[in-house]
Amino acid sequence: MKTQLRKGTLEMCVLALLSRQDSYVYEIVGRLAQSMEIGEGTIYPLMRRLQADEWVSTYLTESNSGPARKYYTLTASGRSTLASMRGEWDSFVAEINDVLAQSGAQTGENEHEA
Amino acid sequence: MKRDEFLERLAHALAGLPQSEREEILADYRAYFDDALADGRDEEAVCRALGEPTRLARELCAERKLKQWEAHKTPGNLGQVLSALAGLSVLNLLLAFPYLVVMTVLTSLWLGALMLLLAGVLCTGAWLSHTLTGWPAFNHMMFNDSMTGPMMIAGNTNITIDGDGENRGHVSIRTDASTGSVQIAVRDDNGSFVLQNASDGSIARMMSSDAHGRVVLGHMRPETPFGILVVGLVLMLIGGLGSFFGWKVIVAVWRGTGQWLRWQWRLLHGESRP
Repeated sequence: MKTQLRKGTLEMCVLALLSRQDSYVYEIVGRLAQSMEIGEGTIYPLMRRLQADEWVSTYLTESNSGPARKYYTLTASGRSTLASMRGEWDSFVAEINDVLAQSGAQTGENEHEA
Repeated sequence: MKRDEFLERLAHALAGLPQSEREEILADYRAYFDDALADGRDEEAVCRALGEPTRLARELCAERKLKQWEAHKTPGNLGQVLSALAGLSVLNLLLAFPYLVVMTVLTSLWLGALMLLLAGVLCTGAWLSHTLTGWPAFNHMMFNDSMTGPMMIAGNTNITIDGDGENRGHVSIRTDASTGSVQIAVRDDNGSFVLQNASDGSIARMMSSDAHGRVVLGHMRPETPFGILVVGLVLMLIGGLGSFFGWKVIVAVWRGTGQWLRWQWRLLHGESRP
C-alpha cells in the first residue's frame, strides 16, 4: 500500500526539497532517505525527467575538492507545478482522513482498500 | 561490482544516445560515486543501491525516445518508443499489434479516400479538357496488357491485327474507320471472347463463351461527357470528405497514442519505486 501511495509523490518530494534550497543529486538522495524509503537508483532518472519537463534546471559550481558540482534549481514552472501538486495532495489527504474518521466512528474497524 | 565496471557497463548500454548526452550522464554518475565515497561508503554498496546499469540505461533511453516521439510523431519514432518501452517490460508488445492493425486500416482507408479524390479530379479534368479541346475523346477503347502500359485504339483508323498462339489460340483486332467501330476477338479450343464497340464509344457487344455456355452483353450506354463530369464531382466530394475526416481521425489517434504512452510511462514510475 505504501508503495502504491508513493505513486507520483516522489516527484513532489524532490520539488519540495529544491524549493527550500538548490541541491545536487547525492544530497537530494540523502535528504529524502532521512524521512522515507527510496530506491537510490531511481532519483537520477527522475532528475532527468524533471529537467526534460523543465521543472528544474542545472548550473555548475566550483567545489573545494574535485570537479565542478552540478546543482539543480527549481524553475518558475517547477514552482507552480509544486504548488498545484501540493494543493491536490492536501485535498486528497483531507478526503481520505474524512472517510477514515467516519467509518472508524461507525464500525470501529478500518477497511483496507488500496 | 565496482565503480569502474558499473560505469563501463552503463557507457556500453548507453551507446544508442548521442555522445554529448552519454558523456553528461556518465559524468553525473562519476560525480555521484565521488560524493558517495567521500561520504565513507564502499563502491560495491553504492553500485547495489544504484541498481543494474543496463536497466538504468534502458530507462534513460526510453525517456529520451518518448520525448522524441512527442516532438516528432513519425512512425519511426513510434517504433523506437514501443521497443524501448517493451524493453522495460512496461508494455506488452502483443498489445501493440492490434493497435498497429487499426492504424494500418485507418491509413489504408485514408489513402483510398485520397485515391477517390484523385480519380474525381482526373474525371473532372478529363471532362474539362474534352469540353475545351475535344481531347480526350470518349469513343476510344482502352485496354492494357499490363506489360507495356496503357494502350488505346482509336476508332477512326483502319487497323487489322491477327495473332496466333498455342492450342490454336487466335487474337484479332479490327477497326473500321468508316463506322468507327473496334472489334477484339480472342478464341482458342476452350472458348472465345469478343468485344465490339460502336462509333459512339458504347459497347455494342461483349460475348464470352466456352463449352458450358455463353454470355452476351450488348448496347451498353456510353459514358457521356456530362456523366463523366457528374462522376468526377461525386468522386471528388466523397474523396474530399473521406480524406479530410480520415486525416482528422488519424491525427486524433496519433495524439492519443502519445498520451497513452506517456501514461504508461508514468504508471511505470509510480509502481516501480521500491
